[in-house]
Amino acid sequence: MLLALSAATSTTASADVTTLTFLDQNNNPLPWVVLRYRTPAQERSPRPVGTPAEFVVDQRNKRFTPLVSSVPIGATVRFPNSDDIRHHVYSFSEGNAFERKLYRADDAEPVAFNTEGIVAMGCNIHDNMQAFVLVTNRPTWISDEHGVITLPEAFDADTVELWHPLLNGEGSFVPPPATIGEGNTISLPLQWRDPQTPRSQGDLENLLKRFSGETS
Amino acid sequence: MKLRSFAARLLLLLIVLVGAGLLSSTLAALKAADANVRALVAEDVTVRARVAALAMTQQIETLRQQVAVITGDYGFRAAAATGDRGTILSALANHGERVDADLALWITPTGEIILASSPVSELPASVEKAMGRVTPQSAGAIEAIADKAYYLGISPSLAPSLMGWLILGKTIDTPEVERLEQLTGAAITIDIRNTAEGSGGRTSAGWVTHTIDLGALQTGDSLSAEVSLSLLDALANFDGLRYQLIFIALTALALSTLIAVGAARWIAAPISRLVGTARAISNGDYSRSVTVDTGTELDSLGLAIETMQQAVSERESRIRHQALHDLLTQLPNRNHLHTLYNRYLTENPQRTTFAVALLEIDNLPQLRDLYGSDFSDQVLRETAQRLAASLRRGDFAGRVADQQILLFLQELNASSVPTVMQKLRETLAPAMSIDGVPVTIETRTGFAFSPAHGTDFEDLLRRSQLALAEARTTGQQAATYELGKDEHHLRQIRIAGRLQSAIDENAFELFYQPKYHVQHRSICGAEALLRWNDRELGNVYPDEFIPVAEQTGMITALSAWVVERAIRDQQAWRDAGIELATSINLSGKDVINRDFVDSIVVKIRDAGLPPHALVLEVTETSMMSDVELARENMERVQQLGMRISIDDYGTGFSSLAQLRTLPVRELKLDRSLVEQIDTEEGDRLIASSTIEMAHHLGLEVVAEGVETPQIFALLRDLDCEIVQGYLIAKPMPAEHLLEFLAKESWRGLNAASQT
Repeated sequence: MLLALSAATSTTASADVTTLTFLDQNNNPLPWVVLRYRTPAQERSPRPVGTPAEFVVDQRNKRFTPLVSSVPIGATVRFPNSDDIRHHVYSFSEGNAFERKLYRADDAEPVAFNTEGIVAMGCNIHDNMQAFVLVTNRPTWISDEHGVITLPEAFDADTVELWHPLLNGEGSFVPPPATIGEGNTISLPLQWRDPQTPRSQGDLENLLKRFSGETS
Repeated sequence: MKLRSFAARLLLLLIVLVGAGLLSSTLAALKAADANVRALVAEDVTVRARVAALAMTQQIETLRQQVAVITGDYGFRAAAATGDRGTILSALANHGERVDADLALWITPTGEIILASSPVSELPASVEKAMGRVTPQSAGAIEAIADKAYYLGISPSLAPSLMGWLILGKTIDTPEVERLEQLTGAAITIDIRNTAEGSGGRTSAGWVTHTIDLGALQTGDSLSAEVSLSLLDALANFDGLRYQLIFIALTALALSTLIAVGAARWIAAPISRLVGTARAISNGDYSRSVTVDTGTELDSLGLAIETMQQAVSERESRIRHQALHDLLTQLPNRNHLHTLYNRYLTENPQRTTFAVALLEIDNLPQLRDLYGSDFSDQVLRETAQRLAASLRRGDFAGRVADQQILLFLQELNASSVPTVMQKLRETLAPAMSIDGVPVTIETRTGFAFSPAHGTDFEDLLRRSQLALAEARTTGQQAATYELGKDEHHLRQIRIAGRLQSAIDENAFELFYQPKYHVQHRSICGAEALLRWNDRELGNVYPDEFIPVAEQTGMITALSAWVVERAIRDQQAWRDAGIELATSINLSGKDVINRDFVDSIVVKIRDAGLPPHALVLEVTETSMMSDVELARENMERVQQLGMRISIDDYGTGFSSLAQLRTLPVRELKLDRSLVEQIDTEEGDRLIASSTIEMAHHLGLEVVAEGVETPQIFALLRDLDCEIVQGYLIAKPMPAEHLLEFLAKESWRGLNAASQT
């Protein structure tokens, strides 16, 4: 139902479309869209193309990087800390809950995700930090900063489903619209913003740094 | 402007009273309302300040709870417990931002400031106070830190032992103040008193301010909040009421003015009616009704005016009657008679022939002397009654003088005099009986007739008076005015009127007629003669003006002038080396006036002249009025060396024997004796014997009126010492006298007359 909005101006899905561009409701490129095949029954390689062998969710400038990542079930994810302050990474996602308390650098022990699902994680002392790890064995693609996903085969709306951190949180995937728009675009009814943007401009932190003799 | 009418003053008074009342009550109401508004505003501000204080307290409490929650947060405690400065800083910033803190402090249990988002060098007072407690627990405060006001939440971080103190603060900035202002509906200023002059409070007159001492809320005394309400706004709400009050007052004033106008008219109407009546009375209208029916004192005033009106009316008619009538005889007086006469002329323009008879009761003074004035009054009254009763219709009579009654008789002319006299005799002849005394009055009547003797009342009256005087003089019962008499009379009056002015204007002149001494054949003196050439009357002769001067009492002034002038001329002659005695004529009045006689002596002495320079000529008759006094005066003068001469001798009846007793040195024969001495034997005899007798008495004789050599020769032969007359010289001005003397024209007089 939500995706029907973009159908009005779209043409029927073309069989040879392999590159899709995701847009938000303001027609801005929408990164971090996850496209996944509905069934694992399809003959696909268990791992998407380009998937690294080691999975890392780094922390830089009090942000998780990348925001969204996809790992096979049972994969181990490392959480290195590139900041000079400590982070306290945790998740309460069912089946994959974990906690790595206030560690520095690479002190944290890697975490193995053994349950299929979306793992939402944060930092206990930095409220703006968020990251999502999709634990799945189905073929999965994530849109880049231009909102572009390039598929190895023609796009078929009936066989895929979509997810986005701003779309449904930890909820389930949704079906894509039945048709795609001009220029092979797919619009999702949300407004893009970086979920890890701090609540404020960091005034208080800057002041603390300034008047406590810290340098940023 | 001066308020002339009573009604206007009353109106003004009423309006002023009502206006003052309204003004004071309105002002009082306005003032009360104003005070009320101020009190309400003051109370309102207090309440609002309490609300503001409460709102701020709630803010503090909320912040205190939030800070307490944060310090209880496991993550925060864990971060704090790391002791890692950067981590704590980031956690502090993170958790601080959760509650939108503007200020964050992290302080060690010993009070060392580890982290601060503001340049603080020492612990805020409220923090110090919170840390001073035995059991660490959270606290809220409001305090100024680095010149900014903050709500502060202060809480210990226990893990479970005290790791440090977290202080988060929220600026009480513009949005917060606006929030408070919105909440309270008042203007709020946060005043940091311990800084420099920082107060932006509404301290002007238009504001009512309640100051909350924020220091008193928790700790410190450096902060206050001023909660202000605009008094002008509050009063503006009250404007409606104010205008209403003023409108009511003006309406009331207008209404009461209308009522006052009505009342003033109502009260003043009777007064103006009375004023109208009084004015009518003053104009002589006594016919107005003065009834006033107001049931007030004005009724009495009306009655009083009515009474006054009657009294004035009666008195006026009485006074008018008295003014027009003689009280004694009740006949018209002279003025009224004049009026009646004029009225007669106006009403009867064709009847211009009539007689004016002035009747005088001749023996009235004698009757008065005999029986008293009451008696004579009754005689006069009786006479008046008889005369009035005898008058025909259209005739009238009036009393014009003490014992004179003027009768105005119509259609009579000069030929009617006997008829009128007959009628008067019939009327007045019967004896009167006054107080039992039979009296017969004697009357004289002077007649004048119009138009022959004039038509003017005064002319006719005067001419009848002249006629009466004529009758009196001639001893007749009646006389009629003769034409021309009045002109002489009038000239005398005019002379009398001019005399004083003539003296003042120097209209008089002295002429001198030389006296020739027959034996010495020389001029021995001159007689000073008065000449008057008046600018109005022309030449006036001594015969005319001397009697008038004597009658009017001017003679002494005139004589004094003569004396002064004669003395002056004497001096002039003496300066020229000529010695002549000047003879001066004195009036009978002068002779018996001791002061005047003395003044002559003084004047001569003052002028430095010898006494014999003046010869005083007096007539025999003038000496006779008071012989003793005259003789006394003359003797005194004579003793001083002045010569006395008897003038006009031969016209009176005095005897030489009488003259003998007087201090006389000279006798002047009157010209009437001298002029015909050459033709009348009798005159020559009288002159001859008189001269002879005079010589026997030791008197020198002067002959006047010597005009011919024959007369001169006769007189010389009779041994008359001195002659005076045209033969020698006419009277001449003083300055011609010297010329005359120089010519010596009298030389040969004796020789020429040698017959």
